[in-house]
Amino acid sequence: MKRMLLFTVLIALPLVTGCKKQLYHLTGTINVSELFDVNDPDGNYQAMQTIQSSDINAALDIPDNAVITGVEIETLYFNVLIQPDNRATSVRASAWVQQQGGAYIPVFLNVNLPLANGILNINSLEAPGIAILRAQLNAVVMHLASAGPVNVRVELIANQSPVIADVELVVRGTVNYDACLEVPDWLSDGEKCDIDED
Amino acid sequence: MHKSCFIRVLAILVMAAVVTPIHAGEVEDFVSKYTGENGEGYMQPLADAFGASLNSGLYHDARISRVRIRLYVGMEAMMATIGPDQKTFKAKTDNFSPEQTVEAPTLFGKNEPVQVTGAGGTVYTFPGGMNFKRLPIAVPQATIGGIAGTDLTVRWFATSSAKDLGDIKLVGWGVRHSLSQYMPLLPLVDIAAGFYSQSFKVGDIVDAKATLVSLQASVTKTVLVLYGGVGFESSKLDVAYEHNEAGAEPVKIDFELEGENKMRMTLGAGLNLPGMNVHAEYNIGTQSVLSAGFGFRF
Repeated sequence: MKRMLLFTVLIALPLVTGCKKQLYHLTGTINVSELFDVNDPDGNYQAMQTIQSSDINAALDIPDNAVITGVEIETLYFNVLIQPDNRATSVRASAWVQQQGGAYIPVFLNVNLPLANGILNINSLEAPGIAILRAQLNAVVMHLASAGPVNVRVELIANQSPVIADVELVVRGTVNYDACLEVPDWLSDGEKCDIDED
Repeated sequence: MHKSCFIRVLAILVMAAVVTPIHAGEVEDFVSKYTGENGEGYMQPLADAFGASLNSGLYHDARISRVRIRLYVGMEAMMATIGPDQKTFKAKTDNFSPEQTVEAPTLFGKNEPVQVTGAGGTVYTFPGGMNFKRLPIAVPQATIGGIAGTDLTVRWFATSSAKDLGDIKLVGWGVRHSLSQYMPLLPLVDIAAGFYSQSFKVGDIVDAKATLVSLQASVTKTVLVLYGGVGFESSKLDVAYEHNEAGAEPVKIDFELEGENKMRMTLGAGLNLPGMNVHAEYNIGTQSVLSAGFGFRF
């Protein structure tokens, strides 16, 4: 029995010793969305909505001890649920984001979309609007002084009226963050952890 | 399955039976992005390394008695070395305009996310890997035999400690038969043929299988045993779970990964000490594995 224990310990030792914290560059997903209750008898819908900072932070899907290094915007899409009395079959969609206390900058303009239930991807995006949206999301998740709510204006011009649907505008992004993980020396060639976790 | 479940499943796989102290909760951070076909490329090296490791260390000589029943109880540790070709894969952007293909890190690859730029300054990020240079696993193993030159090897491990995952179970068995008993003209070399089958399950989420057919030979000189063999093998790793993301609909994920190893050559050496055996071997194949173990003979 003693011999069994001795060998077990000898085998186990190299497996459990020599751990160190290493820095890992990780990514998470952030989906920020705002629901627009579209109901326009003329088929020409416009509305402004505010995405609150608390909603943006709630959408973060990362560990508590992570250090966020930035957010990138990957895509924007609509998630649509058509209501029974709707007659529109397609829309020309535009969206703008408000510069801090200033003008509305286009995120996408006059994008033709078939109006159907489910996800409608928006492939034609405007760089100035995306840059402002990214900066505002970064300010919120990194708790910068400039952080604040994000104001978004949406316009939908339908081919037929009325247009009646629940339209959710989703901003899908990636959160880049650093975290220290404990790994055995011999398993990985990682970077030294220099995050102060206290 | 909740995110935390998947995390644990992967952690269990990566650490299977298992030794790395990375917390389960941290593994999903690597794979959370991959819910589409990229996921298969990202995880394929895990299937290769895990399957090839399971099929290692199953025998450590080819001598099987015809008349004397013997029992061996031991522990096998396997270490798959992760090669440079297992650290990247061709990944495609998913729901991103314009579609792009890049060389991205696998689960074992470099810990540097790869980014590509798309329409309007959007950015698609391919996650980095865990920067692993090897994958270790360890399993308990027992062999009983000596009836008409045949023995039976079993591997077994079970726990239900992971809260919402269901039971975690490794079951393996193998049968060998001595061929040298029919070859009296080869008295110095022991030869045997064996078939092994193993299954590793985590609830209904992970189902890994590995099989090996091998032809084994060994030479014994006092306490020293030199052994080797050739084997034909297959392995499969199926992972099915529901990925939950804050602010998005759950996505069903179902990976069916087949291990690349089809054939292997084993070279090993062992010492038959009084009442015990220690051994080490190298398994050469598409996925090479170093294996070592010890056990007690009764």
